[in-house]
Amino acid sequence: MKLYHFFFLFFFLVLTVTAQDKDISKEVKVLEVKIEKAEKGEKLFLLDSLAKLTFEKGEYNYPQNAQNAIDLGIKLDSLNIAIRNVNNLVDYYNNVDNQPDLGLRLFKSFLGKATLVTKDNLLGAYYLNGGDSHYFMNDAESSLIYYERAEYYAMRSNNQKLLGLAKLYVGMTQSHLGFFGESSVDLQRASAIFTTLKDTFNIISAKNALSILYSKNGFFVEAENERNEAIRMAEIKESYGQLVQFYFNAATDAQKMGNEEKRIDDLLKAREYLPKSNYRKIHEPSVLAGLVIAYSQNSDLILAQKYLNELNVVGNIKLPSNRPTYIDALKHLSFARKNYKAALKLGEEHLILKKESKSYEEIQNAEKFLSDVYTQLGDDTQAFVHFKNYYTLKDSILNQQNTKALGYYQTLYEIEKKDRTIKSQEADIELLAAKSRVQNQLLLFGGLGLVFIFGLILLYRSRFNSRKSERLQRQFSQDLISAQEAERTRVSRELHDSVGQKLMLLTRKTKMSGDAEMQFLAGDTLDELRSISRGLHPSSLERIGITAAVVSLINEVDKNTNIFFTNEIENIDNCISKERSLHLYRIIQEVLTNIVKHSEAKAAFVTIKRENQIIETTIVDNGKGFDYTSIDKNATSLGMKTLLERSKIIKSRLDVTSEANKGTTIAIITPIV
Amino acid sequence: MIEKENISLVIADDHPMILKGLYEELSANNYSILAQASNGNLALDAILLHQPKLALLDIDMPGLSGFEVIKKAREKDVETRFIVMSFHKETEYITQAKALDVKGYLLKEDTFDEVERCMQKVLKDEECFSNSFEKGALRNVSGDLQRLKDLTPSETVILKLVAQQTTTHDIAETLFVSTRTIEKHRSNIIGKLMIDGGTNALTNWALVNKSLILDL
Repeated sequence: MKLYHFFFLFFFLVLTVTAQDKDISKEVKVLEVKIEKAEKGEKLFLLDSLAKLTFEKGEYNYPQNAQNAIDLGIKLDSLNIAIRNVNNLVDYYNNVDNQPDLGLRLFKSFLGKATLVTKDNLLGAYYLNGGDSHYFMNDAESSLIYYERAEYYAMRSNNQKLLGLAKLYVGMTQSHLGFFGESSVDLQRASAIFTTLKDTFNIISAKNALSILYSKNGFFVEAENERNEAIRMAEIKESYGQLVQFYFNAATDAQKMGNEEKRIDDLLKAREYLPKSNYRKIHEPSVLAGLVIAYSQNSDLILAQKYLNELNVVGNIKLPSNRPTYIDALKHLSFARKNYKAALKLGEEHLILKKESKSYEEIQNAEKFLSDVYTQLGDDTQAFVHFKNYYTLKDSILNQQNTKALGYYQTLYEIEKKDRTIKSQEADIELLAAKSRVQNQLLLFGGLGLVFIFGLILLYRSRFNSRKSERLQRQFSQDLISAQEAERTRVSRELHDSVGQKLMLLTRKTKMSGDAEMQFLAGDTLDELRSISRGLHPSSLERIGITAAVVSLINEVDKNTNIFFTNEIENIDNCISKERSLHLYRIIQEVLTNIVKHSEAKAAFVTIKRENQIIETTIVDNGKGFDYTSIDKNATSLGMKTLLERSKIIKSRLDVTSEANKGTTIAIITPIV
Repeated sequence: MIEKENISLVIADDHPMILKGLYEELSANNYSILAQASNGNLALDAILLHQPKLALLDIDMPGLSGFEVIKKAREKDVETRFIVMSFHKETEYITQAKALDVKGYLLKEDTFDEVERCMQKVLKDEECFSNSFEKGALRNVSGDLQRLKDLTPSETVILKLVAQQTTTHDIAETLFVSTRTIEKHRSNIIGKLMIDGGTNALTNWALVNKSLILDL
């Protein structure tokens, strides 16, 4: 019967998967040459570098390199370098080379110097590794002392990772020694620390330790829960070494629960992961021995022998640290073969070895095994003695107090765990709330953005439309003005061509008739027709030119009003087309009409200048003026509107400057095209 | 008096009724009409071809206007004298006629007597404008004073004030304009009336013709 859990203490295991081996060997050579020549400080530095370079690489003689650095470090009083190398080398012996006895020796050899080291975290690591060495050498009580010391230094240096590890190992060791309550507290603390540090590997380790703790105390469900969680994490992390452990431990629990099928199944799984594990050397003996024992107890001697054969060829099986495991396998196989004498001998040796390790569970199992053997041998007295031992041990250790304490702590832990779950759920809720807030904001801003964009589009459209309608409006009024002009011209011409001609003939005839009254009436009618025709359309504009037409226009106004006119008009005939001339003439006409009608001016000046490619028409009066902007805004004045439209038709700029009681100046700048 | 038979004519008007009426009256009075034209281009061709002593032209005609016909004929050194017969009574037409040195300007409603009188005057190289243009005060004066017709109303106002011996400064104040403006008008008046002499020439001339000026 095998009730044995294992856990491994991996410490500062930096997997140096560095450059190609070739490069390393080259560098190693270079360094070695340099070391030959170097002295003292420099030599130490180089030795240290070499140790770092070859770290955990046995083929490059890592242990010797590290040892050299340690020796010289001590000699030169560079204790920090020395202790760091001690730590690494001890770790190497413990966890890689599976020679914890060497690690223990090295640790002990440095104990004297350690008190002189000043760096707390290096010291912490030192004691932690020392604890490991003791633990692996089955001296759990000593290892507990050193782990606790490591914990102390970890706290002093505030190195959380180191503290977590120390607590983890303290917890594991306590569990091993049967201090379940304390163990569970420390393991949970360790788990919490690693959770904070997000150190998955060690969270897994802590969970593993807890699961072992639970299983030892019969809390198989809790144990399985923790383990399954740990397995899930380990699978994600592809941490095969840990997976091997978990399945091995699961097999142990299955056995305790009497599920032999699952026990063998789990062991086979553990074996499956072995080749991928970084800790194959350490795991292999236990897993194979486990299989031998399992098959032995299930009376499958063929398979048991098969795994024993495999176990025999494992490289380090002869090492003293693996001796108990090996004997354990052998004794069970012997028992299964009904070779009770041999089983007795092996069982007794095993018991002695286990007593050294003070592993209560295993001692207990060893006692039970011997009791079974003696029963088979018919030695009831001895069988009873060992059975009594077994029972006493079981009772003493699994006393109510301990279990109660564990129960208490377990409950505490469950509560704490639930609290954590609640907290993490709260955090999740908060995260969700934040997410939904962000979503809401996104929705809000997105919506606002859309509204804004639509607003912009609407604004643009309405502006575009209003501009378009404005353009159409302007085009319409301009067309209207042009059409009006065309119509007026047509009517004027019509009057001239038909009525005018006939009226002239009539006038001539009346003149010849000598009837003075008729003669006057006819002449008057003709004059009226002339003025109507001229009002409709100034024919002189086409016949003579705009200059004369404008002069005549001004003189006409001059003649009929009291306003004193002054003009200075340069010849602008043939500068602009007839249509544009007409509009310019109309503008001047409209302005003069406005002066006569509204300005109350005493004098007016009309200037037309031709300069380069521009005709500048200025009409100034000294009348009462008006507020141009208000008129423009209200757009009440049709005359002003028409003026502006006409100036646009002839592509001219029309500027109005007016101030109350200071007269009005209207300037029209017309380009000559 | 030039014999009617010796007066060779080209007449042009785009209104057939008027053209026909004129032709009938002229031929009934034994004028020798060489050609009649219904538009400006035909009129020019006829004038260039027949070189008449006199041409009676309408202004508003399709193609070339009456004034343009005169301009082009003059360019070809035709001796023909011109009388414009128009519907238009506006001053710019008269100004234009004067600018072209056209001696005769008649309105179409003028009687045939007037036409005949005008033809005789123009052939003698005298000016003849339709009676309708004559201003009352100027009807009986001749020579320099006739030029008063050419003054604008504003210039007339100034001339009247000058005749009343108002100073330029006072005129400017009365009319609410600057003295510079008045000076400009004065020089325009001098130009139009063709008065020679120094700075006071206009004042002296105005004093001499005071009564006539004030009657304007």
